[in-house]
Amino acid sequence: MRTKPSSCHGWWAAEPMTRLAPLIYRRIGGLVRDLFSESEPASHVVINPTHSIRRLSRDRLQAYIETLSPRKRGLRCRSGTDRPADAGPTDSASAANDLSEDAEARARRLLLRMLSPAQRAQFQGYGFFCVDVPMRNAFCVLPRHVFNVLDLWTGDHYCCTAGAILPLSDVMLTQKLLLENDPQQFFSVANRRPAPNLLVRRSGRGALA
Amino acid sequence: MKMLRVLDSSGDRAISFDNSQESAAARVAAQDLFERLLANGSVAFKVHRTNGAPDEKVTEFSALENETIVVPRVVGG
Repeated sequence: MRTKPSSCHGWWAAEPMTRLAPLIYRRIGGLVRDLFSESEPASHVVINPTHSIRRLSRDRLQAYIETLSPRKRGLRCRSGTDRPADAGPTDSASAANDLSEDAEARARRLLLRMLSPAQRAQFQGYGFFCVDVPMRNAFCVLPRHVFNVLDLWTGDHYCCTAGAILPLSDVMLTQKLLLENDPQQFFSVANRRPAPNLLVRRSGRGALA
Repeated sequence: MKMLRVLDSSGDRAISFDNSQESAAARVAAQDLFERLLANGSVAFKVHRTNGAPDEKVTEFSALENETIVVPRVVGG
């Protein structure tokens, strides 16, 4: 039998953890079991003040499981044992990857065919190409989906992409065609991000000349 | 032979047609697609033009030349 030592105000702290751990694990296990139990005794509702909290947690967990996205459901289906027996060696995810790779390869071939010789050399060497825009500066089309059009004179970035889902090379081709042949439309819809001004202070003390 | 290329998620979709009677159905389908896409905000450009003429924006189906690329409606990102 445990007794409180006279010299110790916190005798629980003196209790060895090896004896407390099973109690804690048993308590946590009971909470988890209650959380997933379908039926609960009526007396449990009355005497347990944490019942509503646990029921709320269980309802939220169940709602989360039921509203899993199709992607998560697909992952769960593939990783589990409920995979259809007649499924072939290539599932839908890998087929989608193959399709996107094919689309990108096709779009890249078209882009290479549409670029001028100088642009093609730039693109094959560095992954980007530059476009001379009539009545404006030269712009660089970078290989990424957002804010990938760089004004080489001001350093501003522009973002104007297709409203449909396109491979990256198709996006770059769209921007090239618009910049060269219809820049008004490009700049009327593009969002501009000013260049980060790291070296030059526009005003105040310490402004560089 | 004229070619209409429409950029989409698969890369591009190409429709070939000319003014002959044999490709009348393809020409009608291409014209229908062209007008529908432009009505939805797509933009068409004539590329690879004869005599090395520069690319040009086009809005009329009758003005199409060797190859035309239709890009989807563009939006600010």
